[in-house]
Amino acid sequence: MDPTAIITNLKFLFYGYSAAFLILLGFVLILVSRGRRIDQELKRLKSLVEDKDKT
Amino acid sequence: MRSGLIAALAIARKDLRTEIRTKESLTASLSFSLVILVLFSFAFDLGREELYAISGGLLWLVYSFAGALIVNRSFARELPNDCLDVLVSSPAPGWSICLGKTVAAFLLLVTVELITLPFFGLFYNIAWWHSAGTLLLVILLATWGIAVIGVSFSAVTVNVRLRELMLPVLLYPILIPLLVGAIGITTALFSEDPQMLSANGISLQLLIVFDIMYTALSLYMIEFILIV
Amino acid sequence: MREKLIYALGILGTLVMIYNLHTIFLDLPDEAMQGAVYRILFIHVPAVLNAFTFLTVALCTSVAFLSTKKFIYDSISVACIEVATAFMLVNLVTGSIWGRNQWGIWWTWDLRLTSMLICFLLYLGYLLMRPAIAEPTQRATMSAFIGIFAFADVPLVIMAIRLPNVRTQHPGPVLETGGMDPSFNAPFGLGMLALFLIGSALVLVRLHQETSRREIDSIRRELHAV
Repeated sequence: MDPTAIITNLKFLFYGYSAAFLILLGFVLILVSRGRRIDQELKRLKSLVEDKDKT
Repeated sequence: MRSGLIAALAIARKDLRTEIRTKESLTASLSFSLVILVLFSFAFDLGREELYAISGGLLWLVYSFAGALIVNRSFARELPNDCLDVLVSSPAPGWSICLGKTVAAFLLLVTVELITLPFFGLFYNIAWWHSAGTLLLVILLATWGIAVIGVSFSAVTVNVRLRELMLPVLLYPILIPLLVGAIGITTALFSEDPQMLSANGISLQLLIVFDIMYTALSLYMIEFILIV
Repeated sequence: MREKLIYALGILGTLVMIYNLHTIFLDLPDEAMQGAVYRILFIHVPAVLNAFTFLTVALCTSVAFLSTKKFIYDSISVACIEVATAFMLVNLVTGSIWGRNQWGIWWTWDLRLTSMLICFLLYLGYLLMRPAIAEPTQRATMSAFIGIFAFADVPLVIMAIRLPNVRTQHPGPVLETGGMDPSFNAPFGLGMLALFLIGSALVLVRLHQETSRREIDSIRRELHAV
């Protein structure tokens, strides 16, 4: 294969794998942030229940 | 089984009678299809060849928009006065409710489609009557598919927020294989191109397979949706 | 215990992936016609195969929920479908990039690509519909219904390149016909394994989040009732 075609191929290969990993990373980040929000909410509600039980 | 079919017939007659008396979704659906037909004629300024190429797609696009309006009313008309609860608690089995409503939606949609077809031929100068028999078969098969899936999803989204938005969002992706088949055959019929007709032979079988599959799925699963 | 399992799966999956990438990029030679870009195959196909695996699990748990009405099945369904949707997006995007390089077009409406896009849209609709239903039992039932209906497209996607008389742009099947070079088998299998491990870890994380959400709902109801 001629050199320019090889470079183009490598460029697209790089784009392909970067896109794949970015999508997976994005998904992981969404999960993590959602998880953090849920944990905070759960902690807040549990403390509310405890306060209610104490009073 | 027999009592189920009798119940289905009763529900179909009830829906059709309501619709014929009030004409709410019939007029809405019919006027919407005619308006879209007119709009598309302004949107595209096409020569004969290109027009034949998009004719099938145009027709089925109009039909699916009209179909969404009709099936949306299917279960939504049961919401006032708790009619849905009454229907669900009646001795009629779930599948007969689904079948009755599907038959009613099917008949209404076919009516709208058959009324729209001459206008389509008029606006776009397409001689649809040349292959009227096969065209009718395709219309009946694809409309049954739209009706059966539409009625099931109408049951699913009847209590959902933003029902009018969620129903099309869920409905159209599932309908795409069905519509692609119908569009292929319809375009081939309008173009009267023998090569296109042979290439789309498989689409007719695809339509029948989809109809059978989706009817079986809907009739079996409606019970779980209604009893929630 | 559960957290340790998630970390173990995630780290193991990542390590397998790194090892596999090393093999793919450094050991395998360039292909005659495609050059280097054929290596996208090693993430494009495992992504979709894993997506379908998780979708099958989601189908089974959707059916299980409808028969037993236990919410754990609903949670597993949504977790698997979310991860499968992410994998399907990876498949669509990597395929599109490969197609741009090989065929010169980003997209075409042949049967394989169209049915894959529909599958993605169907499950995206599933994920969009869930927040729209407030009541948990109703939400779970409707989701199970949509999940079962949406799975009807998956066989179409698989069969799309095997149907006779259907011309597709997408390359034909190579896994069963043995059209693949035998040296590809190991990286392919390891790619499948890596994504499966990572996917399972993500499913478990999402499952835990769904369980926490149900706990939040029940505590809220308890607080309101008092």
